[in-house]
Amino acid sequence: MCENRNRSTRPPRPKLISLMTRTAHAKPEVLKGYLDPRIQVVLRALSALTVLAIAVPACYMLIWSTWGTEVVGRLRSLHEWSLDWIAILLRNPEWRASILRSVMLGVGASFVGAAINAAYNYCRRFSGEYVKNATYYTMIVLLLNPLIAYGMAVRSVGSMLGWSPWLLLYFGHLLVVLPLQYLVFEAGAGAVQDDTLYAARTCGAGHAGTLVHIYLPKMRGAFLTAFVLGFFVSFDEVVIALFVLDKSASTVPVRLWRGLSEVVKPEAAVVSTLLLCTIGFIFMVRHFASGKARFFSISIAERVRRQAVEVAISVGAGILVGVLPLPLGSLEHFVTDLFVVPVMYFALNTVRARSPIWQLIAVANVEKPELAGIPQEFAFSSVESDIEAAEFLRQGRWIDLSSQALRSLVQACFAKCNGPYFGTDRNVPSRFCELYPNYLKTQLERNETVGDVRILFCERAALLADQASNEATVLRFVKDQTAAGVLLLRVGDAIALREANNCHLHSGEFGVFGGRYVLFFHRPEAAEFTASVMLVPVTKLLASHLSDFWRNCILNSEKISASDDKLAFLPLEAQVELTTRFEETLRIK
Amino acid sequence: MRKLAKLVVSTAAWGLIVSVGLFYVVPLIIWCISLARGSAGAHSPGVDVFALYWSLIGQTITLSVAAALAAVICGSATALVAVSGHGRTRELLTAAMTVPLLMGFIARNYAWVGLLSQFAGETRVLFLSSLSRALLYKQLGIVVVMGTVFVPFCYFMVLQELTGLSPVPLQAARTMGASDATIFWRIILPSIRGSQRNAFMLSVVLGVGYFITPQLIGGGNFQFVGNGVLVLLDRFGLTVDASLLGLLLFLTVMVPVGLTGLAIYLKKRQKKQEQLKVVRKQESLDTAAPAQAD
Repeated sequence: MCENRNRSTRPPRPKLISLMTRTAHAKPEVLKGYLDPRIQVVLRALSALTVLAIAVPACYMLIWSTWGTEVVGRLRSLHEWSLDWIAILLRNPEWRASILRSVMLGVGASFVGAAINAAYNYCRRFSGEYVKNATYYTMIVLLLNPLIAYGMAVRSVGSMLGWSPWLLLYFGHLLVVLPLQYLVFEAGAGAVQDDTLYAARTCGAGHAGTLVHIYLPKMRGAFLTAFVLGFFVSFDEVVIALFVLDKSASTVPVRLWRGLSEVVKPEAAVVSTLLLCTIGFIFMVRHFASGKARFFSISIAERVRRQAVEVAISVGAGILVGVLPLPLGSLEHFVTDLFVVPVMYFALNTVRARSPIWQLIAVANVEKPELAGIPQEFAFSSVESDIEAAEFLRQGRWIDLSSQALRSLVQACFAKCNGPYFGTDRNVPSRFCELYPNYLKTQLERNETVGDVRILFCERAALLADQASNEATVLRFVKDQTAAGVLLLRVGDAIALREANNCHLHSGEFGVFGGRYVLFFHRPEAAEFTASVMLVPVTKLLASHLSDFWRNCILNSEKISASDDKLAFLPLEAQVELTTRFEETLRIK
Repeated sequence: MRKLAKLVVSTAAWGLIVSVGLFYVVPLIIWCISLARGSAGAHSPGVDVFALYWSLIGQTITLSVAAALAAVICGSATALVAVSGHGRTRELLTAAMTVPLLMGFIARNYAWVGLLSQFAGETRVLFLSSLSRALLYKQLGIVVVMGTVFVPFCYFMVLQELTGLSPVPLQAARTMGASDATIFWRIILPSIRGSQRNAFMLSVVLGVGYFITPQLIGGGNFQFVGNGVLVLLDRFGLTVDASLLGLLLFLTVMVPVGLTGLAIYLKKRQKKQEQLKVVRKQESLDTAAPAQAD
């Protein structure tokens, strides 16, 4: 490679934005169990106070926009709420002009800032260390710069050169958003490894091709985040605008600031509410945009049916919320439904999509095989959950589940399992029944259990000892499965675990449901959970590893049966057929 | 062609610095030149800008430091709670710290004015009336509101440090018989001292440049240097005096920042040189040892 590939230490990654973007993946509970109870009480009290001090004014602002009067600090009575202030603000041509200017400035400055940062972030991969260090320290200085002084400087330049105040304001906003967007790009830089770009260059791609086809698609998230952040910062910027703009024209924050000398009306609260609605709108667009990619993959009638069910639930909940306070107020409360319906709709979806168990069940039921790589027959009623599920599936995370959650997941998995089930477990039968009381029942309630195989990773002595102490449970465990046609095998746990390690499996304990995806099990770290699970689709590579593992286990296994109320261990015949059947189930060509 | 592409890319890497030079350094230089020439606008010989600066800077720094201190204490406490509870607690606290940032700075100050005015009058809720009166148009109110503005920064910086904390020293301390209180005071707090110091400095630097909160919450009773600049400019139209006061504010912030940056740079350089010396010494020992053996 002919480019400069200086990989010495980069400037330290900016911490604030980095953490904000990584916070969902950060290791929680670092200090759990290490804080003195008395100190904990003090910390919790301070924390509660802090959250109150932040949350209460924010909530008050929303209340102020609907119940506010012209007298600051005086609200109307509960049933006198109205949207008058929003209407007044939106009908006022001066306010409309200010909002339009602020939006245009925000979009322009933020987009250009994000583009400059993206270009820098790409080019710095091919540049020396000094550029990175110099840029880093420049951005820190810019971040700490008092804007009042800079505002004075811009004003001075404007009066000297006779430039338009809007042009000056645009440059000022650009400078304000640049360091913040720089932090966002630095935090998101890990999305594209330097090696990926070098590889593209080595393979003959030009810089333009590498930028367009490799860098930008991977940095799309950082670009959008930087744009949104820059837009809000620019929209909210008041200091430079105060110095540059005269009284005839103003942006939204300048109008708010200059309105201070008059009566303090709820206009600020209205603007803030509108901002929050804008954020909600952005999320809504993102929500539908993510669904759009799959719009043509299902029939329109089916899509309409699904959406109709969810909207009906939301409308019902919204009307309920709107009607409940009716005795206290007037028919105006029905207007709340306009707000409550979408809120309820998104709340329902958010709760469902974010919950790990819902994600897992959605994965088990996911309908879009082209997204998740899993079969068509696993249908689910929610488009959004499918996408969440597909994303979740790609990530392949371990999730701790309670026994209730695990039962729901297993039921969902078996309900859609249109083929034989192959499972392994390292618990002795009594412990298995204790941990998963409904697992066997769910498995055996299926119509076709003949062909299912379960391998227990236990030593013979352990099984016999378990039978001696829990005879009824163990015998029922074996007899139920044998009667249903399930082949029950045993392999020494040392062999199984070593083979799982050799075959690069996430865990030796797993269940293969119909051969399309695998549910790996793991012992949970926390005592309150039953199991830690990971659901992954069967790719060609995984199928190959699973197949190797299965073959080696089968070669070392023996059959378990119960005769005369005693456990018997018989040599396994037809090992090759069993291995072949497993491979066919995984559909390895 | 490839050389040209390389030249373009290596030049474009300077894009950010060039942008800053064009839009930040050049205006500052032009401003300073016009100020030195006295061509920046109207000037009143009766206004002693330096006296005004000295009368305002004490209050500005005192209130900024108090607000930064409150923010560091509350932000650290919240971050500690976040990492000592469940993941859900941390997510909720992070959301609580993030959402207000999206609501607009002036609007948040307005909300405080409305809230405090609401309860400063008659209210049946205990303490709220006296609490509101103690905050509205008072220095304490400015400190509290500025503190709430800075808390998210402190929270995120301390949380960053805490999530990187290794459990090994904590386990070792417990194995050796240290109580939880000792672990907190001797291990946990010293571990986050660096990020607390950075958060405090950032908050102070940001606070010194503020003027909206003192005007809205202080009601004009407690002015910062920024308010002085605005008064000179908007009320009296004294552009030169306002510029001079602005320049003094700029120097108040940037000189300590520059000196701190220089100190950090020199310290790092010295450390690097010491490491280099150790490596060279080791290398010379390594080369000398076989020679002696021969």
